[in-house]
Amino acid sequence: MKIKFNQSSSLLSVLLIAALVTGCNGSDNSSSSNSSTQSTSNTSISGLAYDAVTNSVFSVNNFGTLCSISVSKVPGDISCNIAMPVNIVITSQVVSDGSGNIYALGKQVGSNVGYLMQYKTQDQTWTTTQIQLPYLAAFNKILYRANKLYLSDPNDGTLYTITLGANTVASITNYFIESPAVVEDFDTSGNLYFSHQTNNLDSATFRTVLATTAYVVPAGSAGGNLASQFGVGNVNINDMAYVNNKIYACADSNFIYSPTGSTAANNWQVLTNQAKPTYFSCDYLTTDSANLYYVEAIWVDENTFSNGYINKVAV
Amino acid sequence: MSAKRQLLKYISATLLCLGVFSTVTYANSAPKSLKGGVSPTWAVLGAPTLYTTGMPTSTIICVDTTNSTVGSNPQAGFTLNSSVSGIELNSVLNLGVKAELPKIESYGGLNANLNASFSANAKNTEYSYNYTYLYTYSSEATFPIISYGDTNLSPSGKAAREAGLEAFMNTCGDSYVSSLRAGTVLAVDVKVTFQNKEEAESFFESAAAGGYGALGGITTYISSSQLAKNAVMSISAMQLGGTPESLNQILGYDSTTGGYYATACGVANSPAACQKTIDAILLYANTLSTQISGGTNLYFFNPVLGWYSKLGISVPDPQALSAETQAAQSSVINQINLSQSRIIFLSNYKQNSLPLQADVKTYIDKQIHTLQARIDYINSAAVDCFNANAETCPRIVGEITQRIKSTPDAFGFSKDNYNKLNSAWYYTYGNRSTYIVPVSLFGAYATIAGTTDNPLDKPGLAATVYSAQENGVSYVTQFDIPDIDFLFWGSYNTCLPASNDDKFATTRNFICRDGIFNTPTPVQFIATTNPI
Repeated sequence: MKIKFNQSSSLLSVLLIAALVTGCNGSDNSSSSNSSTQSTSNTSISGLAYDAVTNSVFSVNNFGTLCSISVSKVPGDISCNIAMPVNIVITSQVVSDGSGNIYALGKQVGSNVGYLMQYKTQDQTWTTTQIQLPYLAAFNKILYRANKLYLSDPNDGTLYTITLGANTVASITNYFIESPAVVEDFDTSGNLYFSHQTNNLDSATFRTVLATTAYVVPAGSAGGNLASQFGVGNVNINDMAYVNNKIYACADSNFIYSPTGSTAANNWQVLTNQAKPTYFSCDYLTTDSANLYYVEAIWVDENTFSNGYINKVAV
Repeated sequence: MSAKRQLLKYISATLLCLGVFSTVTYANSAPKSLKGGVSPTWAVLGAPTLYTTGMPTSTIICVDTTNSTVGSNPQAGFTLNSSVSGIELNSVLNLGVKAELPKIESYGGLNANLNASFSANAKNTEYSYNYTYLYTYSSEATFPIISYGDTNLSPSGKAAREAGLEAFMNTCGDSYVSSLRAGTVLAVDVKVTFQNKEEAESFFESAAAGGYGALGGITTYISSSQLAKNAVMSISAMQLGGTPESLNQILGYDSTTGGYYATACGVANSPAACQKTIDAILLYANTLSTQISGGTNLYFFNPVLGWYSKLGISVPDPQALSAETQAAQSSVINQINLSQSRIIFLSNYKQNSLPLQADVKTYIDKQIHTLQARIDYINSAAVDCFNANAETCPRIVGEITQRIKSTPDAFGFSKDNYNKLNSAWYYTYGNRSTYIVPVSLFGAYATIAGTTDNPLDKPGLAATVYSAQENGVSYVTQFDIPDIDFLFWGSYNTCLPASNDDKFATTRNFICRDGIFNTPTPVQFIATTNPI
């Protein structure tokens, strides 16, 4: 018998999640291991999060190690030498709660044991709690709002939330009108923005044309058909962030933005990057409300390509 | 003025100017760039050539062609009845045919003209298979040998010879065009482009086993293959000589390909559209003979080379290039071919509907950018490798290597990243083979799982591959994959090394558990080339 999980059987979904959430009553202030410093010269980092307490930007590298750079050193290479909890690696992108905590999902090396990870940036200490989600945390983006983490299942249209402290997991099936969806950011009203990659066949060339369509879901709603398209869908977006009533995005070799309240009829506008008038790239971005900090890919030498370089542009 | 009209004008101008060329004095120094000299219509009677490449060394005619003739009874040569080889195509397109130059079919890519562009487009790649056809209608053009000795030289040739052997070789080459065809040529290329390497490879094997039909039956031949059901067929045509503007009524003008005409149709959903285009081309081909009636609008092609020494002119026979020079030429051609194939893979990967993460998208964009810059730079810098200055090629290759090394922003190539993307794993459970292919450079993968007979039809479920390093060598420590038996759709299996696993082997033995019943399931993961 084939059981359709997470799509038609939300009851089963809840039961299964309950079964999978393990160890929720036992947080562990883990001792840290001194992982060796990873050079960013030939590594990739995923996601970006700004921490106001230490005035730094955080990320995770391809070994699942937390990385950081003080904004005073931007532009520059991010450093991935933060001591990690013993035998646990980060398996998602990282997110800041704006109050000195960095959150991520993690995994015990060589096991199927998952963790919710909290890093206090001021004290440089970790707290890890066993938690199991019924989907793959393949370096997906996660969001923070009002003591909850928000995640999207990369394989279907389910939204997951983790209530911090209680460490309980809840889900809303068919939350995303298009899937797979990437949760992008909240605005100050609590509306959730997400993106979806479209793969349309060009009728003239019979080639697939990739583009990104952005959507906004009203605060507190169940999503689905309540989502509306945000901006025209003919752009190619890597990452999005809310700043001062606008949504900014990395898009090919441009920063683009559109004010909150935009619809499918509104074209994205281009933010000129004065520092880089010619070709540049932007993988991920975060903000301190005055600047966008972004991951730029650079050639280190003839054979080495790095995307561990952090740059900034004023907004 | 359209490119075609310019081409026709150039053909006419060339014919009219033969006499003028004969009064021009020899060039004092070797031509520094062949690009200007290698127009699609360089092949005229007496044109000086380097025998080992079959290509011109300058535009100065060094032999006396005053009494040249063009036959008055043109005949059909190729008639679209069977596909032609790359060598035959290049010969008709005046791109050189000397077999001793390694991979001479790639040579056309070094010349920035429409013929070279068409020839390059007609080359097979890992993703595409080409059926190329020719229709030719022509007479022989030649000139009589009036005596034996230096009297066969034109005034320019005599001046060059009197200036010394080196000046003569630089200006007049070691050979010349002794005869060629004059008429019109229609070249048609039917390209079948597949969605991934696996489908293309399977089709290549079946096509190699089968015969090639005439152009009229090629649509039926291709569309009857189950292997091509997801393929795109594109038809390109180029006419030289005659009045090629008429071709525009059949195929749309394609500005991106530099002036020849192309159209595309899906093999599965619009074979009739493909056939309609081909039928129109076949009808059109029957009108070509009328387009050159009266000896007008002639295109000269298929040059036959003669040696000056055999005319009794006191210069050495053509010499083979040194082994060092041939190696340098090969290096240039290989570097261009390699860069082109890498661009094709990266472009195809980005267009394959995978949920690529930002780092891969950026890497692909930037890598294509620098690889294309490499090709453009090598094309420009290596021109002398294939003309009369060919012996300077080893030095040129050294300079190219140094320049690429010292300017990574412009020409960088990340072998590590490229190899990561071009690698995949696959496992088999039951009768179902599933590939997992990278969508990031840090462990995020996606499945390409079989839901139908075609194992590559269903992309996109997330997977994660965890790695570690030992003494600088990476190995996989864990696979997280979608539920292997699909019992719990949406859940996943965690797979850890089995006791008999060798972590550095290409076939890995793992035990997978679904996290629900936790029944251990042995699964082999096999490292392979990315099938996309």
